Amino acid sequence: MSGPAAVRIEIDDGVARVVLDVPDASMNVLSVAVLEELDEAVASAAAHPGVRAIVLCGGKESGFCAGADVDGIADCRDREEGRRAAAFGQEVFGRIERASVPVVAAVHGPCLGGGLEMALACRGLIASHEPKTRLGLPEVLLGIVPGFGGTQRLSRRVGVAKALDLILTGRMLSAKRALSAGVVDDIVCPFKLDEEARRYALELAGGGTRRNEKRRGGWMRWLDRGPLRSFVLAKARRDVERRTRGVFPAPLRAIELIDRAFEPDRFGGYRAEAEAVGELLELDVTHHLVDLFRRREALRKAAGDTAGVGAGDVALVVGAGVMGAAIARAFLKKGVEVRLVDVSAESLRKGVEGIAAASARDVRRGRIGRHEAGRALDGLRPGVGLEAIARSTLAVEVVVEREDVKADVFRRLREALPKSAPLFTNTSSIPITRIAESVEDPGRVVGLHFFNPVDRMPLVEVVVGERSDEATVRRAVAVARDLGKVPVVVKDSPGFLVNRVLAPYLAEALLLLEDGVAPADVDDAMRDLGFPMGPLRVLDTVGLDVAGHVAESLAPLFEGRSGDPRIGGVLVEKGELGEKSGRGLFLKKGRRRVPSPSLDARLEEARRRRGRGTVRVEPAEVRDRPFLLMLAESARAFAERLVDDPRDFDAAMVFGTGFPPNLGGPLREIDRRGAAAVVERLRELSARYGPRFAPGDDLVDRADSGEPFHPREPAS
Amino acid sequence: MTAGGEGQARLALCEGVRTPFVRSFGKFLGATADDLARAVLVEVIDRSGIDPGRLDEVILGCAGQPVRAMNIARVAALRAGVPNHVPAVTVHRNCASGIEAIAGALRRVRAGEAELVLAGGTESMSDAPFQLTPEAGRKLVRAFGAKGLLARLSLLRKLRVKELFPRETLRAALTDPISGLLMGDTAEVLAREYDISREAQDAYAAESQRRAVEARERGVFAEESMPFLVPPAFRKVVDQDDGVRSDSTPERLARLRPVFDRRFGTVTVGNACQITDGAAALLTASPRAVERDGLPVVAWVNDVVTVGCDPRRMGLGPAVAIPKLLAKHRLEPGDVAVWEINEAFAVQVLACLKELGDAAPPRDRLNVHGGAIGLGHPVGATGIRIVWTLALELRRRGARYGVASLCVGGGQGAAVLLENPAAGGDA
Repeated sequence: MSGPAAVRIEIDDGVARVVLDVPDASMNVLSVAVLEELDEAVASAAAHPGVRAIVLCGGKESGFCAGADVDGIADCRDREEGRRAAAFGQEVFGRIERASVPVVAAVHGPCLGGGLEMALACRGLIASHEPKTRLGLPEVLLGIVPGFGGTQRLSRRVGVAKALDLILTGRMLSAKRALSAGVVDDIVCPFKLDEEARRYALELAGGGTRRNEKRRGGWMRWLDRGPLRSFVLAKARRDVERRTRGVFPAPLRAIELIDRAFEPDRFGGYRAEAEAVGELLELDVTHHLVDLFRRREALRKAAGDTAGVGAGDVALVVGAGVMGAAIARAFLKKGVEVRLVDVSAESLRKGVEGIAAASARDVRRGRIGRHEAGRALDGLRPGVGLEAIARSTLAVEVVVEREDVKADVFRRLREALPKSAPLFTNTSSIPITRIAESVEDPGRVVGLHFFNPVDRMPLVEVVVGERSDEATVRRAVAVARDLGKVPVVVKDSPGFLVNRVLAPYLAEALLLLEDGVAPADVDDAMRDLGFPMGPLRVLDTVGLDVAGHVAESLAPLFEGRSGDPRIGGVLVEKGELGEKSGRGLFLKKGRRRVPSPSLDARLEEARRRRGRGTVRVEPAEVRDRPFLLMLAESARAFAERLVDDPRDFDAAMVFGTGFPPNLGGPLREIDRRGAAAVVERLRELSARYGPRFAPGDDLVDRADSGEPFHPREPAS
Repeated sequence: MTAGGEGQARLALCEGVRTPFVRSFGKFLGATADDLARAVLVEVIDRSGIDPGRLDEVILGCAGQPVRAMNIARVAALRAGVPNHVPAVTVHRNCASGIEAIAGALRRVRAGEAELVLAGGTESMSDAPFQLTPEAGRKLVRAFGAKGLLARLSLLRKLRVKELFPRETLRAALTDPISGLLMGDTAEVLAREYDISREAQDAYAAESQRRAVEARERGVFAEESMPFLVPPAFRKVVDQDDGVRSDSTPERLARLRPVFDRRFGTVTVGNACQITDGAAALLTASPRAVERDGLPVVAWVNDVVTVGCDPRRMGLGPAVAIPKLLAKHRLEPGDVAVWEINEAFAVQVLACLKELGDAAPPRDRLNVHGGAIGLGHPVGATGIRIVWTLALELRRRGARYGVASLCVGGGQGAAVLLENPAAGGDA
């Protein structure tokens, strides 16, 4: 232990405050060194003469403890090392649990992962009642399981049902919900936290019982008993397998560990937990998830302290279609005033109606308070035409994808808005550089490309035109960050990054249909790889007309290497555009989706136009045709350096296309398979299905040289 | 004839707008009075292009404030994006609450306390709450305060079904507590005392509707109102007043039954104002602000007077207020080009005209675009509506003086003198 201490002890009238305050960090995170210090501090505080109780609290404004050190997790790839690290944490927390005087955790702000495990080990747990306070065990989202006794202590504390819910979803609880779930013993207003924690600690020292004991789990505790528990756990396992198709091992391990928590052998569960951590850390999928998490944080910090958007800003959103309304809503949610304008009063009204409906839905689901939602909606100022926009401090253009219309909008925005206002466009197919030509100061124009559905897709492409100035680009990154998105800076090029890589993949899925493969087989093949949604489902959601437009705008790029599916065109002609028109590739029946009954006839028509019938496609080809095209296109796009860093490239693909996070990203996946193997398979497909499968030069070079996209990691 | 009356400063009306006036429990259902007010405040701020941070005050008239938006002016102002540092106050002079908001702005300007004031009014008569009886309320409070389930239940058992029956408050709100008369009853008093027949009332009402229809067709209402997107669902846009009827003839009106005095009465739903929801707002400014910011002046408010009269004959308020206003400014009735007298009831307007005698405004210059019989009377907003309608009409005609007046429930009257800056006034 060197350097400034991460833990300090303050003794005051019989109670020792053990304060966690990791130096040179904005958040308290637990590393081995910090755990050692904590261990010593608790021991010495307990041994201090006159100390009757200990309060464990965070010394930072930012909160109690954000969990274990993610960098530490990322560096550990060895099973035994991982097991030992977890076991060490368990020992430290075990000593806190059994300390000679009672320890009470006083939690404010985030208390996550290892931080919550630490708090759970204390004999009392009290949290401040404020919006910042969040408690949860998000380890599963990183591909691991809580490793410092969390699976055992939480399960025994709140029962099998609640524990499954919290650990499998990684959900965070507010102080109030944590109280009613029985996770915390008591909540108290922020400025009384210290005083009340102290009182509680002395209460326990005086032989008092735990608060909130009655509430813990409630009647659901019946489920903890033998047969019922097996039933609940089996159901959970089935649900997880159905949702994740077995590509993520961590949730399944977590379910086993929750089961162990109720067995008489108290130590067995802890041992199993440490072993599970070790085993999971050996797997690539875990490290991919950890990397993606770290990339996400890094991308969100890319703009540094550049101000993005906040209260006091007026965001002008031009165009109230589905995307415009959703983007407006993203601003409103952050308390930003929004001026939403459209040329048509009717589409404006529809946009506002959609925003209000989405907000009402959020209120119904308890995601946001009724009052808060009302205030956010008050910030919405709809208007027809570009009137009264002079107060806007930034603009996002989301109008129809026509260059002349956009040019006109930008000219008028430039006239009306203050010079300091950046002008963003959400175009998906028109080069930013060309749009920027319509104004005298093209530096102000940057692409800010959101994905549908905006409230669920984390990625925003920040597209840099040739003349975009750096300050505006930084501002765009900061705006995306403030809207809670993950910004990735992308070079201006047809389709930018995501749509370009998606296009051949989606087209190939349609071609598989035309070749006679059943829709469910196509989607299932991709979902088995780890895609959260099959490509046909994606097309149906986005709309076949929209996908058609994108494909059309990308046509020059794919000249000579396009499969050119016809089915999309046939469906659009019939007005079967997908989910939005009630029928497309699928038909919605209640909550279920079935292949559209007219699809076979439409496919016949498509085959007739192409002049080719069905062919026999091997199951392996159903998987490889779309997927390898995506990999090949990724290699091409990276060769053009649309994104500079391969890690950012991979992250963008995961957050923007739903590329399987368990594989880490397309470049990562090529590295794993080996470029040579990928090239070989592409050549096979090319021989059978046409030149669109021919690998690009860069990929061929890499196959020859063996040079990976990602710099090689130290051998594990 | 001094401009501001006794040499006092005047108030400029720079911009104004209202929501459509819509029959209560109809198209605006779900929108609250503060929703309506927020919409007009946002629109006035937008149309005038002022920075809301420079406002000195927001004054709104509202007769039936919703309980969940106490000081509705403040609630609506903040919801409209007026910054925290701008104060807001709600005023109440029954039917003349909107006029009171203008009077408040005028007085602040005269006292040198304000340069820019938003003055408006709002009313959702649909939002008038239903109440339990006071007996039920008392018993419930006691029961909820009791310790233990048993004590609570035994107290709750004392509630009588009759006491739990909700009472609608709109009727109570429209009853004068001093005379015990409903507003409609006071109109019947005037009908008897001034000997105004049912036929005369229906003829007046039919003419009022005819003028409103004509005004609507000529776009007069479109100029003064804005489309309103109805919260909370925002599924409907309302851009038309819905009480104006083109099928209103004396013959058809004659078929309606009297509502207040079923046997001998003359006042029907056809010759009285409608129960309506709506809001209106004006941007008002001091002469200094006008000069400094180059604000357009549609009309000057030279003065506002308010008077009291017999609550049983509250409809006569304008007949008291108008002579006082004209005398104060040494104006003859003939100097006034256009008149607005709010049509609470046809009979009440006719009684005022009879009472004013020779000084009465001629019918062809009075309520030239119809009035509350067609448009309805959202109590807090009406004062603003008639003043803004009058201001725009003065501008349209290039005429100089206009007077707007209202009778006020509880026995008061209010009158406003407007002057058109473009019509040879001594600015």
